[in-house]
Parts: sequence; structure tokens; C-alpha cells
Amino acid sequence: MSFNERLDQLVYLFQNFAFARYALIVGVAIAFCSSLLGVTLVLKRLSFIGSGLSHVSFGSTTIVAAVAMGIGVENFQNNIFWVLPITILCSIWLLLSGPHSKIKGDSALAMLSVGTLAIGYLFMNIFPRSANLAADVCTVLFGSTAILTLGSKTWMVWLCVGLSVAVSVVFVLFYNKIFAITFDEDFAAATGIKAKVYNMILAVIIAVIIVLAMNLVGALLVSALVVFPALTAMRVFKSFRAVTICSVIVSVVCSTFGILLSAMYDNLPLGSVIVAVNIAVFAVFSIIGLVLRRG
Amino acid sequence: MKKILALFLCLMLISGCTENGGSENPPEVDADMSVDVDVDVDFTKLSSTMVSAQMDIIMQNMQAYVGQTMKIRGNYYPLFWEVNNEFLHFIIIECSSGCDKLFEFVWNGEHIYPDDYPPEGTFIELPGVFGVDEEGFPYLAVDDIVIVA
Repeated sequence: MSFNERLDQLVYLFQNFAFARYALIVGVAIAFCSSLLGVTLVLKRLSFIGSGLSHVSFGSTTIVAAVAMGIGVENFQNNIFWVLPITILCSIWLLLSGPHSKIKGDSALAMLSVGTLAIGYLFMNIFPRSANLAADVCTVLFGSTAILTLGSKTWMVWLCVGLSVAVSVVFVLFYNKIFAITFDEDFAAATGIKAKVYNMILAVIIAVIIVLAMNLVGALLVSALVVFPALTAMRVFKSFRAVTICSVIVSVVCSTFGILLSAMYDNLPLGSVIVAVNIAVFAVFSIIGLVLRRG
Repeated sequence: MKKILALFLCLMLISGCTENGGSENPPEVDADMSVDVDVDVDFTKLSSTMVSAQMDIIMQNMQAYVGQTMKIRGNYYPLFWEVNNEFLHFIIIECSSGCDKLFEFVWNGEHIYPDDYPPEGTFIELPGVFGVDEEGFPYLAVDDIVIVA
């Protein structure tokens, strides 16, 4: 098939199928808000928290679905209302556990991450929702069609967009405070900023973004969506504001490009393509940064 | 047999598909050509990821698609259903994530298996009308089977 034919294919898809339009809208919204927090997470050395929380989300999704099946609820679709609070609570626990806690930050993250992943997969095997378990697991872990089938539930599309907008608004409103606790939490607390409160806000936002981003790239690749745009921007820019803005642009462009590529070519799972595009852009920005530094 | 049944239950199940009287063999076209039919859902114009997603959406809300025309391409797969002592006819649609979809089709008119049907594994194209039988299983009612060369 020629490139022009593939473009015609793309036009046909977006003209005739609402699920594709919704997927693009939600994908852009999620990419936008996830990249905002990516800069903070990278600078606070919390890059892997996305992975841990996505595993929590995966585990709680399967447990909630299993419980729903057990109590006779057929075709349970509203698990986001259960998964989101569970993920938020875990996020708060991880981010607010102090230096005197019995299980330190990275150990707690590791324990939660692998534990919930194992329990999630165990529940998927014990309570399978379809005959093809491997495809179900792949879809959840790598997000191949999750965001595309979101379009069948319009309320879910608007919920995702609404949450993305809310996260973005919170980030903009509390930009200065988030900036302060990102670079020097102790100094921020000394100047009167309630660091614990803002860390809690950050924990809630991170959990919301992770649950949303799982629909786009799956549980295993969520960290890439959050971290890569920030790292890419840091190759070239130095100020917090410039890195944040560049990170948002990179994330939105890469996600859009990934969705379009997946729509044009066969055998391109959405989540992996988006991450692959992010990696390519990271490489390009690294070269640009190297050239600018030498120049 | 269990493996075949598991594959079969991966997507759809039986409907009133019976062996009928003779008719002509399916027409053959080049791979670049397609049957020039305007349809509501043309799977031949979608990538495998989008086909997978659209099929999932249809399965979640089958009644909304009853009566809609569709065009699908895939490999022909006949299955002998011992319960009713008849052959059922499926098309295997290539999707992403290693989950090819099995979609039953019913060829309108009188046709005998295997005389009128293409060999198993033949790449075919089916323009047809989507339906759901009394037991709630989906199928595609087709007037013709087009062999894609």
C-alpha cells in the first residue's frame, strides 16, 4: 500500500469512526497532563513511582473486576471509580512515608509494585474475563486498544478529559509551590510553604495521571510517558518553565504521532509506538543538546 | 477439538448455518482491488490495531450494529459442529496483540460445502450485513464470497 493510500486510510478512519476521534482527543489530553508532572517527578528522583502506581492500578482493576463477578455484576465497566481511590491512597502512602517509616521509600515502592502486579495477574488467571487471557493481559500491560475502546463509553471519554483538565489547572494554579517543593523541600517548608500539603496534592495528581495514562500506553509503559518528555526537554533547555513547556509539546506531538502511525500501519500496538517515538525524539534532542553545548 | 472450540468461543458462536444446494464458485479478484460496495463499516480500510478496537466495540454493543453493512477480509475457516452435524463458516480477521478474531458468516442462498466454498485458509473478502441470532451470537450475512488473489 502506498503512502497516499495510507493517508486516505487515515482520513477514512477519522471521518467515519468516532472511537478514533475520541482516542486522539483523550490521548492528547493525557499526554498533556502527564508531561506536566514528569518534570517534577524526574527532579525529585521519583521517576519509577509511575511504574509502581500503574502496577497498583492493574492489580486493583483485576481484583475489583473479580469481586464484581463474584457478586454477580455482569459486564462491570465502572472500575475507574474504585481503582482511582485505591491508587490515590497508595500514592499518598508512598510519597508521604517519612524517613522514620519501617519500610523505606524505594523498598515500599518495590514491594507494592511487584506484589500488585503478581496479584493482578493471578486474579486474571483465576477469574478470566475472556477466553483469550494473553491478549487481555497484553492489552492492559501494553495498552494496545484500551484507549481506542474508551470511545464506546462517551462518559468515560469526558471523564478522562475532565480529569486531565483538572490536573492541568491544579498544576498551573500551584505552579510556584510545586516549583519550590521540587527543588528544595526543606527550604520551601522553612519559608512557610506547607510542603506536606503540596506533597499530598502532588501524590493525588500523580495517581490520577497514572490511572489515565494506563489507558494510553498500558501499565508497563506508563513511566515512559511521564519521564521521557521531561528528559528530552532537559537535553536542550535549563529553566524549569522552559523544560515544562517543551516537555508538554514533545509529549503531545509524540502521542499524536504514535496514534496516527498505529492507525496507518498494521501490527503497531499503540503504547509501544508512542514510547518508541518518544525515544526517537529523545535521541534527536540529545544530539541537538550536544551540538548546542559544543557550539 | 478443544483448541478449535476455544478459538471458536474467542469471539462468536453458532447461528443457523446449514448446508444447502449447489451454486457457482466464488469470484476471484486481485489483492489491490476490492469489491466496490459502499458499506457502513469497512474493515479493509483499517489497520490491524483499529480493526481490533472496532471489533471489540461491536462486541460490547452488538445491537447497535444489527443491520449495518460491513466489509471484512481474512482467511476462510470451516468448522464441523458435531452438535448440529453441520459445517459452520468463519473468517479469521487479523488483529493486533496476537488475538486474531474469528467471525462467523452465513452465505445466503443454496451452497454446498466443500464444493461451493473456497479451500480452508483462502484469503477472502466478505461484504455483508451484520446480525445477531436468537442466542445472542453475531454473524455476517453475505451474498457473495470474494477470493482475494
